[in-house]
Amino acid sequence: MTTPTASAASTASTVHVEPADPLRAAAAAAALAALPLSFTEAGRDAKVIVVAGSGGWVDRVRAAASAGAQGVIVTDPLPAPGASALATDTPACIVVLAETWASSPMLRAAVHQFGEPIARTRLIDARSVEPTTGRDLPAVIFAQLRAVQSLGIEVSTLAIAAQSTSSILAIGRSASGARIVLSAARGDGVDGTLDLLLVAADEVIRIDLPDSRTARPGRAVLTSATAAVELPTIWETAHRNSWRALHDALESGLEPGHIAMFAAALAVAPALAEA
Amino acid sequence: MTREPLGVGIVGAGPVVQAIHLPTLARLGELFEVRNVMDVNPDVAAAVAGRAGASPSTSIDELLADDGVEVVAICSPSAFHAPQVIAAMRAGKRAVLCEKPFATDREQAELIAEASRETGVPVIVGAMHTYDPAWLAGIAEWESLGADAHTIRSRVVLPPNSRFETSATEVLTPRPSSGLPDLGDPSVRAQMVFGGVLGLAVHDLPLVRRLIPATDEVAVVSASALSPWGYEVGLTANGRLVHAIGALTEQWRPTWELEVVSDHARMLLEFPPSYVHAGSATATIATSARTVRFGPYPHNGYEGEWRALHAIATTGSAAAPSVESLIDDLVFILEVASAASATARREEAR
Repeated sequence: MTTPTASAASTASTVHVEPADPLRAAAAAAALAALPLSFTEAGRDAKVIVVAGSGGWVDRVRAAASAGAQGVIVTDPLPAPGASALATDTPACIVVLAETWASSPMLRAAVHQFGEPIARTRLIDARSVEPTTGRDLPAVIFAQLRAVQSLGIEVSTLAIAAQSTSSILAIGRSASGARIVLSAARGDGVDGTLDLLLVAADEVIRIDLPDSRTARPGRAVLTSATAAVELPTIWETAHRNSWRALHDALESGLEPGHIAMFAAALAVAPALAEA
Repeated sequence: MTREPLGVGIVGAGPVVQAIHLPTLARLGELFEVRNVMDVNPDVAAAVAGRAGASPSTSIDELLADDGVEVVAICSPSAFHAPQVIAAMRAGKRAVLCEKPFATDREQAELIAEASRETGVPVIVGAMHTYDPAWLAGIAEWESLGADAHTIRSRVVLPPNSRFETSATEVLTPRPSSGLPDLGDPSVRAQMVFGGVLGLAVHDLPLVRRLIPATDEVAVVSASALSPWGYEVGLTANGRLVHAIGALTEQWRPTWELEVVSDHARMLLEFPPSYVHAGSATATIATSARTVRFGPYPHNGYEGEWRALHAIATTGSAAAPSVESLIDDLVFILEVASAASATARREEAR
């Protein structure tokens, strides 16, 4: 009889983290260190290649696939217009996105536990404050949009209503007619948490999602007329959650659909994409 | 020196008076004594006045003729505010507290200002958040930091009012229930957003005006009526972004937040719901160096406005807010309400 450790180690995938972007590479290294049985570090011919989601990431995904990778993880992908092409001209490997908020394990738990109330939502209000050294504000709005999508909400329209160097407001509608409000401000003294409020006639859901590099748990609370239900905390980073998704996809052979959803977001709000 | 309590006359005896003002005045017994309560419904006037040991009236003339009434609170429907405030001033009362909004247009507000100048009687508007001690402490800290707000976001999501009213008093005149509005009708959407701004956002718009340098370049960039009742309004003013949502729901948790962001600081104000007597808001100000929290303090903004009224009635109108400032608040509120209402009316049917 093998021990669980030996059994798990036998399924470990080799992985190589491209060093192009030091911050993203450090985030990938942290995820790798937190999954020692599922992944093991190797050279450029590894089964899994981790590419930085900064400018040019679509080309890096294609290069990794062409070089024989079976799986690619994109760390914090920016809204690149070329990503849409990945959805139609799919690379010959599984691609998983490790995103700031959309990859949060708390979002997945909320969808699982609160799916029906989420579908009844009439207003979705997403708010965050981006540090002065952080992303461009349209990219922050795109990340909010991806988080909303990841709740199972089909976003039909989204347009920027106001934008300055310090703030941005985007307004849209879901396929079911819910008002969608996404806003971001620029400022220090904050921790990069996304604050999501979903309002229905009889329920409110509030979800806080920390940034992707901390294992500080998100929070999801559903309040109805008679009670409030808070989901158990999950002390896992969003990045690690995505890495596990790739591991599962490699085992099952099932494409997780991240690129298709990312492309759908780009199609709804092309103005948010980097040229 | 011990001072006798000021005699109060209250015009209008609806749920706000029953659940908010009478319990507040009961806590301020050293400062005020309710002497007269007016309502057009004689049964309501008698019952509410009886609770406070006051005389009932069914007309404002009757109330103003009561020599025991030294200060007047106008708590009637807003269409009556301006003429009643002016009548109280011309009757020689010492000060007037008027529920928000204190007029329905600028012309009416100017008439109030003129009457105040002529009679020397000061007026304050019952915008309770502007008197909340946590707000006052928070804005003092904010200004000491030199913080320049570029983004202000308001969130008000409330359970039914009855949840709070019935815990604060035994309501004599319950609100009528309303049907489900048809948001496919442009006029319903427009009316809902206008009413939402004047009924809910109105509490925080004076705070917004205090936080941004000027409001002479207001542009509404988004507005929508929310099902079953609520509003969403986005606007820019002098390059600043202001966004507000308000929604009435059947769930139990009240949320009343105002978030203010500058380049180097963030302030979050968390207010208790209306009608409750649960102390003040909290104000949390975070910078990269530290986080400071003010409140909750024992008294709320309702008590704050009555304390302010006592101060200006006893120490002179110099302590009162300028009527010009109140007019500027009103004009800003009406401008936002009108523009947002027009935008919501134009929205495509859903």
